[in-house]
Amino acid sequence: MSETQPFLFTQEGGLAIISINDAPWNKMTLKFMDELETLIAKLKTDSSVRAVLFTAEGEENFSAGMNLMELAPMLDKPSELEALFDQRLRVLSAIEMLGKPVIATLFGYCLGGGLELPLACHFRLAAKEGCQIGLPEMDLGSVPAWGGSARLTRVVGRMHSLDMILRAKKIDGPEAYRIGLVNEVVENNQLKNRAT
Amino acid sequence: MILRAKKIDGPEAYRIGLVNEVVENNQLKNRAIELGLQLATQPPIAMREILPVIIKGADLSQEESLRMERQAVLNTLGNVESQEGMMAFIEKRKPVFSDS
Repeated sequence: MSETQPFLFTQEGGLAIISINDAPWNKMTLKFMDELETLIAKLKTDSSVRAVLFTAEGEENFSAGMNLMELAPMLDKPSELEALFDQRLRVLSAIEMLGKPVIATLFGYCLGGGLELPLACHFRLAAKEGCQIGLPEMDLGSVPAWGGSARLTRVVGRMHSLDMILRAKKIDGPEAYRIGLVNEVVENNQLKNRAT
Repeated sequence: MILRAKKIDGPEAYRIGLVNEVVENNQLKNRAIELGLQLATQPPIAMREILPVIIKGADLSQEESLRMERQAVLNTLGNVESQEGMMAFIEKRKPVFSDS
């Protein structure tokens, strides 16, 4: 596994597979977003790609969200932060409007950006065990920044969205299925196969 | 429920997504107080900013609600609450959000 690649990219037939490559936490770094933005633009025009899958390396977590340590030094530079958030909104919107179906696998921690990225996808599959899915930004004195509140509310409705966001509540796979956040719950060892 | 003037019980209300939780009768008030206290410790500025995004956002187009959310992010970015939240995260302690 390369240390320098923020994600691994493979293609199986018509399916492009993007795997976050920062196990076990699979945090999404600034570099991850920059390279993802370039890749998404390529996938849009590549006619050999008919569907896209987001997954992550390792068996522990899909993604614990953005790398907060990279964010901390930018806290007193509002214009840089604004540009950063806008880039992320742009990338997620490009995924949503790719014109090709996009699937996300949810396992382990799927927090903050680790849920907001799947929310911009068209299909979500969750592992049966060990999922902790949520938008914990309120616990950080902040609010979801990558379209999380806008998209979560549209997917699960006000009641569940309020419950998850205001309380920074984390839910497991079966609960995510119950409230309509994911399409299917899959046995952990079958999750990646099912998504492919 | 409306056309038939149908009355439902707690578990059915949970099943159809009308209530968040079903609680043992003798635990209901305690659970509600626990929930209220939890909500009362959350950061008040972030709370004030995000509530309308969720409530109004459900009725707006996705583009409009994303714009609202973006404004809420800018209004909370780098403020005292997010600094406390970030410090607490780095120091691995529970954040304390004071009244504002």
